[in-house]
Formats: sequence, C-alpha cells, structure tokens
Amino acid sequence: MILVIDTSSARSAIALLRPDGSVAGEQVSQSGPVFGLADGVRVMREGRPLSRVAVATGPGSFTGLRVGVSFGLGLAMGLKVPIVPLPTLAIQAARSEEPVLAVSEAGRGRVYHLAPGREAGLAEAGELPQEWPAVGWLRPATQEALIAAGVRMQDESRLRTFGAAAALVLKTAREVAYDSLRLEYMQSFASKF
Amino acid sequence: MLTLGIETSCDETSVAVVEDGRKTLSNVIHSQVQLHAGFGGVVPELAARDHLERLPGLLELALERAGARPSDIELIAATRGPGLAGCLLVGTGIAEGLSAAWSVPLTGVNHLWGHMYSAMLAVPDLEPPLLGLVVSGAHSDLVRMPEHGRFEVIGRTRDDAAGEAFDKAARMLGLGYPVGPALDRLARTGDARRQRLPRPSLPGLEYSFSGLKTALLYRLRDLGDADEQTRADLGAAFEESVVESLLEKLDAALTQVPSKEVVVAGGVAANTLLRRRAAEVVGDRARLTMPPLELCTDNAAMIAAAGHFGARHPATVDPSLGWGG
Ligand SMILES: [Zn+2]
Repeated sequence: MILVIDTSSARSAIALLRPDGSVAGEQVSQSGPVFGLADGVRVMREGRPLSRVAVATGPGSFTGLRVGVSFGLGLAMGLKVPIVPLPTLAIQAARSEEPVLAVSEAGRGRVYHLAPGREAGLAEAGELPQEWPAVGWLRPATQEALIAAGVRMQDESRLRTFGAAAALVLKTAREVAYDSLRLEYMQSFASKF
Repeated sequence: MLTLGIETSCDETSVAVVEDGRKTLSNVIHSQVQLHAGFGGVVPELAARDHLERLPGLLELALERAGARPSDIELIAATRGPGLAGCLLVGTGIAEGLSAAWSVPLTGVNHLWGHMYSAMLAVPDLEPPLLGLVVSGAHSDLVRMPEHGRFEVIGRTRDDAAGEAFDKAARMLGLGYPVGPALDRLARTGDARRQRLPRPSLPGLEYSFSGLKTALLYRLRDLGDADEQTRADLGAAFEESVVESLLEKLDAALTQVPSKEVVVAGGVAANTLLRRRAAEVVGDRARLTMPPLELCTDNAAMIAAAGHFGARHPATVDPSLGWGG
C-alpha cells in the first residue's frame, strides 16, 4: 500500500493506494491543515503494511506543509520505506481531465498557481490568468476573492478525487533520499523575519 | 528503558538515546552556526529547513552510537516549545511519524524542563527537591523543582534574558554570531576593574539587564573609538555585572528557600566566569550541579530525560510555552 499525505493546502488529505494505483481509502478534511494526522493514518491503514509514503511538498501553507512532510518523513524512516515528494500544484492539476489553472493557498490573499505548460508562480487574485478554470483548495475568503476577480472555479463534481489524482502524479514521481526532501517555497525566507 | 529524544527548538538539531532518564547512550548535536553566521543571527526559515535535512542522518547516528535498534526504544520525546514554530513543527512531526511507524508512545517535552533535567544526566543520584537557575538566550529563571515534572518560578527577568543581554553587548562590542563564546573569549583578555559598569539590582528575585545595556552603549559612545583592550575591559565588566547580578539572586533564593541541591543550567551556564563564581557563591550550603558544556547547549539527551520523568503530554507545538506547561 502507498500512503499519500497532503497537508499543504486549506484542506488536508490522506489517501491509501493499492500497488496498481487504485484508491483503497481517502479522507479530505474540510478545515485547516492541522488535523489528527497520526490517528487518521492509523485508522485508514488498519494495520496494512506500507511500501512507500508520498507527501505533498508545496508550495502551500507554512504550518501545514511542515506538519505533513515531517510526519510522512518520520513514518517512512521508521518503516524503512521510500519517501516520494509530490508537488502540490501537480496533484490539483491532475484532478481535472481538462487543462486547468492549479492553485494553492499562499496566505495574505495570494495564491500559488500553475497554468498548463507554464512555470508555477505566486500572484494576487487579480493577476491570475483566466483562460482556464481553477482547481485547488483555498480558504473561503481567498476563493471568494478569486471569483470576484473573474476566475472561474472548476465544478468539484467534474474532478477526480484526491487519491485518484495523486495516483496519476505518482506514476512519474521519483523517490528521494530521506535527507533530500525539500519543501517548495516561492516566497523569500527573508519575508518571515 | 530507552527513550529517543529529538530537539529542534532553535539552531541546534539533536537526537539522543537515554537509558532510564539518567544515562546518555548517545547525544548527537548538529549546530547550525555556520548556516546562520552570514546573517548575524538565526534565520527561522533556514533553521527549519536545515532541521528537516539533518534529522535523518542524526537519527541513524544516534541509534548506531547507542547500539540501539528501533525495537529497543520504548518512548519518543520531542521538544514542543518554547522555540521557533517552524523548527518545533519539524521535530514533533518527525517524532509523530516515528511513533506511528514503531508503535511507540510519544511525549511532547517542555524545552525549559529539559535544561533542568540535563543536570540529572550529569549527576546520576540527583533528585528533587532542587533549586535551579536556568540561563539562556531567552530565559533567566530561578525555579524551584519540588518533585519530578513540577516547577515553580520564583524569580525572572523584567526585560532581557541574560543571554539576550550578552548578545546585545557583544554586538555593540563588534563581535559576530555566535556571540556567547566570542564574548567569553574577549572578556578573558579584559579587566573589569578598568571599566566599571553598574550592577543592576531590583528588590526581590527579579532581574533587569536593560539599564546595564544602555550604560554600555553610552560608555562606548563617550569613549569614541575604543581600542581592543578597552573593548575587552568593557566586555569583562559587562559579563561581571550580569554574572554577579544572576548570582546575587541565586544567593538570596538559597537563603529564602534552603535547598540541598542547586542546578545552574542552560546555554549561558557554559560561561566561564559564571561557572567559577557560582561554585564560590553556593559554597558548602548546597551541592551545585553545572552540567558539562555539551549538556548546557540545546541537546536531545536532556529532552529524553525530561520526557522520561515528566507526565506524558501530546506533542502539540507551543512556541511561547512557559514553565507551567
Ligand atoms: Zn535552550
């Protein structure tokens, strides 16, 4: 079984995938990034062995990212199984069959974004490209700001589940050494002073 | 019983294995001094990233040096505060993951308690009740420890902590980060009698170091270009004022609440003058324990010890945790 953890956004998600990539279980919390991660994983695993752990490495929420990535790393190290980093925006983009603008929460009204065929970026709601509908887990206020700026949010019912999207991204993702797991920031660390 | 300790509250990454809360089997510490040197102080974001990258290697090393397997570990103890939020989240997060992987209980540890418990590692028969002086970059606290896992603050600083005061003085004297050892070295070549500075004194068991800091600032301004020897003399005078002020209150506390055991711990307890003078001030009124230098700096062995003796606590991060938590 492969465990996938994404606590990088305004919602937190865990999924358990079978070796063939089919989803054995998934849970998406509607609230903030910090939830009973260890309990959630324990209940979902039901003691089933893990062959690898995949974690969303951002860009995204400051606190959430650290909680999920370090828990996933500790779990992988403890079980001696590989750790696989997954870019947060790639997971959101993979939820749609059509080209979309993947977004994730950057705080202070800003969002990280990834448009098809472009580089990821950081922008205010009004600066986002509007050629594509947007997919991503944002705080309600941020999502309202996007909509007010003219961005169209893709209808949730037309999207793949988190687990199914993560399975797609995992197909091309590579494991890394335990000491090579890097969080993706796009903001200068100096801004945290 | 073996406890695995994890410490990541500031700029030291450390993993340790401790037996029965007393015996250090391994205590590996990685200092981020080099990483932050160019910035003149700890950069929280860089510190958190570095903890994440260093912990895997340190974990392996700590187990190897202790000759322990994961299945030997019966408790995991991780610092939950006080400290830098991002750094604490990395340490407690990895601890949560290991706890889930090994099915071993996890406890969140108060870093301040850890400094007091470093003394238990240094002296195996040390038991509360204790009187403690914990001096670090963020704290100058006089505490009573009536029993394991219980602490009562009886004296604290009104403004700067002792380490913070040393920090600011060292900067004024043109010393770079890490300033503690640099100031210690500078002061050793100076003579405090040549540049007297006021000794702060408040009633009761309270400290204040901000007036002393201002006095140094004005003295430097009045002197204009202070030469090397004058700066050393000023460093020595500043150090002496802080140390004597700390010990004056420790002396008073020892008179008010007599105790057979006294502990002086924390990063500033590595200071040469403080170590020498504390022994003189305490004299034969009590047994004085000052942990060796590697147990005074932030380290995971003290966290494992505190985790072993204290009550279990969820590893929820609290950056501004006080003695009560
Ligand atoms: Zn400390």
